[in-house]
Formats: sequence, structure tokens, C-alpha cells
Amino acid sequence: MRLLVAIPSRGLDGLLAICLDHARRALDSLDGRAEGRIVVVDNASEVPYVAADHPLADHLLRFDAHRSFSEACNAAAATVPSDLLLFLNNDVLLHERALGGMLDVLADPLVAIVGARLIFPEGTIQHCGVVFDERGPYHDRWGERTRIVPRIARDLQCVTGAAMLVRTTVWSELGGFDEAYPYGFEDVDLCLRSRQLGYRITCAQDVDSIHFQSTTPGRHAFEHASLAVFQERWAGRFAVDSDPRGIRA
Amino acid sequence: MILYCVPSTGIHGGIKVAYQFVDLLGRAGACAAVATPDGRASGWFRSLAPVVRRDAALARLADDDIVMFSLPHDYDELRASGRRLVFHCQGTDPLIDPILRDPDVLVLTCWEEAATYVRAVAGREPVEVGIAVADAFHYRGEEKDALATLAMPRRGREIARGLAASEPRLALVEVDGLDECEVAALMRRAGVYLATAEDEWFGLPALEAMAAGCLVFSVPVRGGMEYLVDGVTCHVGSIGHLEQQIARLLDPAWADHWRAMRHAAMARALGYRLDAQLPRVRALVERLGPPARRPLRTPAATR
Repeated sequence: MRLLVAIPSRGLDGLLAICLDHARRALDSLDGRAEGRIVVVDNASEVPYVAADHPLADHLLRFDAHRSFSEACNAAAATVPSDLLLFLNNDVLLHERALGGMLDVLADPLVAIVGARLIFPEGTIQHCGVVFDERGPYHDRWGERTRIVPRIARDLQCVTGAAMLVRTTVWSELGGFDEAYPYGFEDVDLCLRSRQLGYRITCAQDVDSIHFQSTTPGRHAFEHASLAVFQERWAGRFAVDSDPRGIRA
Repeated sequence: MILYCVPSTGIHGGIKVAYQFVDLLGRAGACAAVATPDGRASGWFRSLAPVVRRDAALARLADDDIVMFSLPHDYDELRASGRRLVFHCQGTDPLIDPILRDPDVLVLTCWEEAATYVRAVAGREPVEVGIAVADAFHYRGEEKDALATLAMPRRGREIARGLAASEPRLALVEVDGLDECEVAALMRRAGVYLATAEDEWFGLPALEAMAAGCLVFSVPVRGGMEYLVDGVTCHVGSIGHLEQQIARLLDPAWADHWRAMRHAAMARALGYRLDAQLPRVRALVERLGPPARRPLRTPAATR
């Protein structure tokens, strides 16, 4: 099984090197279950990445002008043939056993997308699944101590694109991330579209990986525009599966 | 792929049951989605069901994909689509009789009276898939206000007001326009629920109130008599009978009766948990075969 790890990145060379180190160790721990290749997309870093500085990356793509997260991921996904795609933010440090847990969940052929359980450095939940209230998606159990949040994998409408494993067949069927999103919500869009076809989405919960979240400079500048695209396409078109008032179903 | 067609996003029990059923189909390993006329989703209850626009999704179905529906008005249009039809029988309105007699339509029933109706009208055996109460309704030990009395006023408002007046200390709250979580929270804290929709095809709120630990007083209904057992899980009968029982609500000599009834009702409602319904839905998915577990074709694949 060919697993392509796509890491869009801009600047933050030191963080990228540590991210690559964790990703490589997670791949190595698979013990032959998948053959991993790592593609780094240099999304217009002020000082271009040099391959020699990132020997753990198998491929290095370079955009001289900044492009959207979607474009960077789509370009990375097209680099080499694959069976599985792992989209990984450069500020995610994968736990060594994270990928193994994600592959375990994919044993069900209808599971098309798997997320990873992510925590902030201080040990609180950054991501263990995305849920929806009437207004839109939000991170479930965000900010709660990870030790009190159950590790039971369950069906979800969406997982974060910060560490997202996708079957390449489904990715191709859906045409990848929609490039209309400047930065943000393209992951939610992909998940909702895949579920409309009948595929399942879940999040591997057995280990915690670190996510510093939103470290790329200028990232927030595009969020409102992305939110506008999301609202136009999806407002009122998703089921409500949670309640921020705490009245859980 | 299973496409469950619903007519709208409105606050109607049948809509909620459809989403709940699609959720269960997903848990049972099927590929299923709710199809609405404009692709909009209902937001007044919790669900994970994917929602698609009906005409677009119907056009993408393969010949052996499955279309479910529960509203008889959809029958003619859906039959014309040429797909495998499954009728989810939630009521026993005579409008459904032609559907029940169509041998090409698989008929599912939610409750006993519906199954009996199908046998009587069409001489066929339906697939009994049951029905469930959302987890939000099951009592969790909240402090209850014994005098708080709930009723849904769309049908039987005057009956509710009359019954509540038979014990002046009761505080009647008419519940309408709230989302499911709000209704469940109210029920879990209320003492009494008045089910006042006469001849109701299937009164899910009475069962939800039983799950929430309310004492239920119900007018006679057509569906739901399998859990509405007079004197055991609730009181069901004429207005006079109910008034007589309500007059005893706060009588200390009857306290044990009410405690036992509340417990019996909650125990009965436990049989209607989503997890309890799941094995039947799994069996249905098995019966529907591989198309039920096959994703919808994308437009590209359709070409």
C-alpha cells in the first residue's frame, strides 16, 4: 500500500524539520503495512526550502507565489501515485503510533477519511472530531484535558485537515480539495461531500499527537473569505449533531 | 446507496424518525443519506445523517440502489424513478393502502399496530424494524418538579388544558417550536406529560416522556398501545378516566402507585433505545444486499 504524506509549509523551517522527523518515525513504525513517501510543498516561503536541509522529505515542490492550502495539497497529491493520502500540517508532531491507529480504522472499506486525535502542548484537546451546531462546524471537546475525553472512535461528519488520511480513490472521485477556499474549511467541505456519497468518517483516538495550531504567518487573513465560501455552499445543508449548550443527544 | 426521501425540514415526528433511521442504517454498515427537495437539512434534532438534494441524488442512483420514503404522497413520483422502493410505514393512514399492495415495494413497520394493519390490508408480512427514542430523552437523575406538566398543543390543546385544570396545583407548559434537546431537557425535569392527540397514528412523544420519567396520561391512540399499558406504564383512556387519575396525583396514599408507574414506564422505554433497534436495522441491511453498502456514484462516475 502506497501512502503519500503531503505537508504544505511556509517558512518555519525548524518546525518543519521536527514535523518531518515525527512523520518519518510514524511511517517507519508501520513495519511494512504501507510504503510511505513524503512530499513537502514550499508554499512561497520567503527563503525557499533547500532539499539538503530536509533529507526526510522524498519530494520538494515549490510555489514562488503563495497559493491556497487546497492548491498546495492538490499539487502534492498529484506528485506520485498513491493508495492513501495523509495531509499533514507542518505544526503537527505525529505520535509514533498515530498512523498505525489510523490505518486500523481503514479496515472498513466504507471509511474514506480518518482524522487523528490532536492535543495542544499543555495536554488539552485540539481535535478529536468536528461536530456541528446550527451555525456550523466546531472542534468537539476543544480545550478539555485529554485524559478525561473518551478514546472511543465514533462516526463523525468531519475531521480536521491538519492530519487527515484519505483514500486516494475517494479523493480522486471528489476531485480533491475545492480550490475555491482560500485557506480554511476546505477540509470540512471535502468531508461533507464524501459523506453525501455514503462514505464514513472517523477519528483514531488511541494516541495523542501534538498540534500547535495556526502557526503559519498570515494564515488568519484568509479565514473570513473561506468561511464565506463555506456558508454559501453549506449553510443549512448539514445535520446538527451536537449542542454547544451541553445538552448532548 | 439508500436514499431516504423526506418532504421538508419541518418539525414533524416523521422527519425526525427518518433521520434517526438513516443514522442507524449508517451504524449498521449501509451507505445512506437523507434526500430533501432543496438539499437543506433539519436542524431541530441531533443527527449525523448526510443530506443531499433529492432530484440530483435520484438522477445519480444506480438501477439497484434503494429509495426509502414514508410519506404516501411521494409514492407516484418515486415509483416512476424505477428504483427499488422501501416504504417505512410510520402511520396507518388509508392513503398508504396502494403502497402496501404494491408487491415491488418492501414494507417496513415501526410498531405492532402498523404490522397488523399491513397484514390486514395487503395480506403480506412486513419487515418490523422498530422505532427508538433518542438518547437525550432517557432520564439521568435530574431533580423533577412533580407539578410541572407538559403537553404538545398542536392537537388536543383544550383537552390538555381541561385535564391540567382537574388538579389546580399542576403547572401546564405547552411545548411547541422547540428543538429536540430542549424538549428532552424539559421532559427530564417535568413530573407529568399529557398526550392529547386523539387517534394518533403513532405518538412518539408519549414514549419519549416515559423515557424521561414523566407520568403519562394519554387519550386513546391507534399506535403505541404496545407501550401504553393503562395502570402500569401510564394511564390511558377517556377524559373522565384521566381526570379521575390526575385527581389522585398528589394524594400521599397513591405515592407508591405513581412511583411504580414511573419506574415501569422508564423500564419499558429502555426497550426503545437506539442500541436496541440496531440489530433489526442490521438485519434489514443484510436483506437489502450489496447495493445498500455501495456508495453513490459521483457525476464523473455516472458519465
